[in-house]
Amino acid sequence: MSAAAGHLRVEGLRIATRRHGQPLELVRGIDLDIRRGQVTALVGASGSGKSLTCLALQGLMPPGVECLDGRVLLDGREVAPATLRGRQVATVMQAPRSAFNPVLTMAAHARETLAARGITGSDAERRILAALAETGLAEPERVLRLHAFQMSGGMLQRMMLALALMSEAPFLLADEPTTDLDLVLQAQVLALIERLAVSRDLGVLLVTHDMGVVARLADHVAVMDHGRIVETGTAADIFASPRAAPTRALVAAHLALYPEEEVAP
Amino acid sequence: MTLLAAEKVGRTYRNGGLLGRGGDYKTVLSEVSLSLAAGESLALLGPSGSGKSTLARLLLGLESPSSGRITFRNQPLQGLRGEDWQAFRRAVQVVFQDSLSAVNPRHRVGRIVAEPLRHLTKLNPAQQAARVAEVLELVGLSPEDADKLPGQMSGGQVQRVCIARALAPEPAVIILDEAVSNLDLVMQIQVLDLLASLRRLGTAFVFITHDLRLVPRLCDRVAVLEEGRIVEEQAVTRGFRLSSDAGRRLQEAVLPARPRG
Repeated sequence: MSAAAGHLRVEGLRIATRRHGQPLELVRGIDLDIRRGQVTALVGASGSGKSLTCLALQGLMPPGVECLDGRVLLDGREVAPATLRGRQVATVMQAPRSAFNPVLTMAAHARETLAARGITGSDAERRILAALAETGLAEPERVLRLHAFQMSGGMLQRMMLALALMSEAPFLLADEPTTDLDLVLQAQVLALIERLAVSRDLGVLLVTHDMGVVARLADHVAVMDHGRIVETGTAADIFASPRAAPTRALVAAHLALYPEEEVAP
Repeated sequence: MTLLAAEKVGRTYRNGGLLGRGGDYKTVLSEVSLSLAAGESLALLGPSGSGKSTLARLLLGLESPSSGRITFRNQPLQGLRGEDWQAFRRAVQVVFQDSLSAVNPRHRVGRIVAEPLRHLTKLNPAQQAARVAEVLELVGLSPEDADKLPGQMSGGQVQRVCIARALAPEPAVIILDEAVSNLDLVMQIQVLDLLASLRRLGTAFVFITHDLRLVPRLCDRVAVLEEGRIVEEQAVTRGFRLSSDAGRRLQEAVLPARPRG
């Protein structure tokens, strides 16, 4: 592999479905940049197109939904998004239970991930244990013998991050990675993503509807509304001076949960 | 007046295979005592696996405690029969987290919302339809939505349908088991504010959540569960602090209001 890529970009992305026989555009021409060493948050209400954008970056589309237009660029060169999966881009999804094969052990998932990169045998076993240790999974030998149904949501999300690390992909797509976890586990998983982003110099795309998660973790923010990116900026700017109406609504609703905080002038 | 109470309630489940071999028991709740007054709104907080949902199922009478008892208006649930049991079923309603799986996708909204009215009240079909229209408006939907199928609505709208169904038989209390957790944050706040406005009707709430930020919008009192025990009970006041270990961990895990620096 050549020097690891540093910039992942999607340009002019348009995604549509058909409803009552009519085309209905769900993502209406967006550009999005993910840079190594930074956490970019893609934030917006349910149905704004965040998850579809995330899927398009991996060359995936749900049934009945079509990517009409758009290209994915890696350091300025156009690439087929499907070739990025597991090599340049690793993913963590919202529902960890359905993201694992229910009949495979964690060890089998880990070996599969590494085999995709041509790594097998004792080298693979060594990397698996190292990745589990890095994500804070205690007793890795025991965890590797477990199936998904025997593990808690927090353990599964750590395991998913461990698999992402094994791929050594420079980019991590995290679609609502903590939404199904309780607050304490959420804080732990967010801290872990933050730590890994720094230690591995990852470019992270964090999809969320919770401005608290944005405040906790994001460097840059893109706000999505009805299939369009309506505002981008640093996290500090988005909170201090939101311009677009959907951004202002998100920030105001979020700050309303902190009555003891001073409301911005 | 005490509406609903748990008195030294314990619940154990049997672990192990389908054939019941290796029968070790897991204690999910132990010695839980908790009471809810008429019109009160109580938050039940705790990490995953602390027993919140099990306690909810016991309060709803969906399962029975292994020890202790649940009382409704000072009557133990186990002793309720006939009309008393019917009155209890009508007075205690629930809204679950996953609204789409809590409705029959083939039934229209009107039929879904009328279900408790058919089973728990003596209203005739015309009265039922009128009540359905009324509660749909109460939750911010329109009476015309009665003709829709759940699949034609957004997640937030289906959750409102579930709330309308819970409200339809004029319950004394609604148990919200992570009822807003699947919605986006703006929608969560809208639904909570809607529920808070329904308190003027005298409806009591038990709000099960792990998100401490949402508690002050609906609740007067909070109880913290940890490993099946109530470790703390407190009034919700401006800037309140929890003092139990589990409570402090939840409070420390609250996401920041703004980015650092």
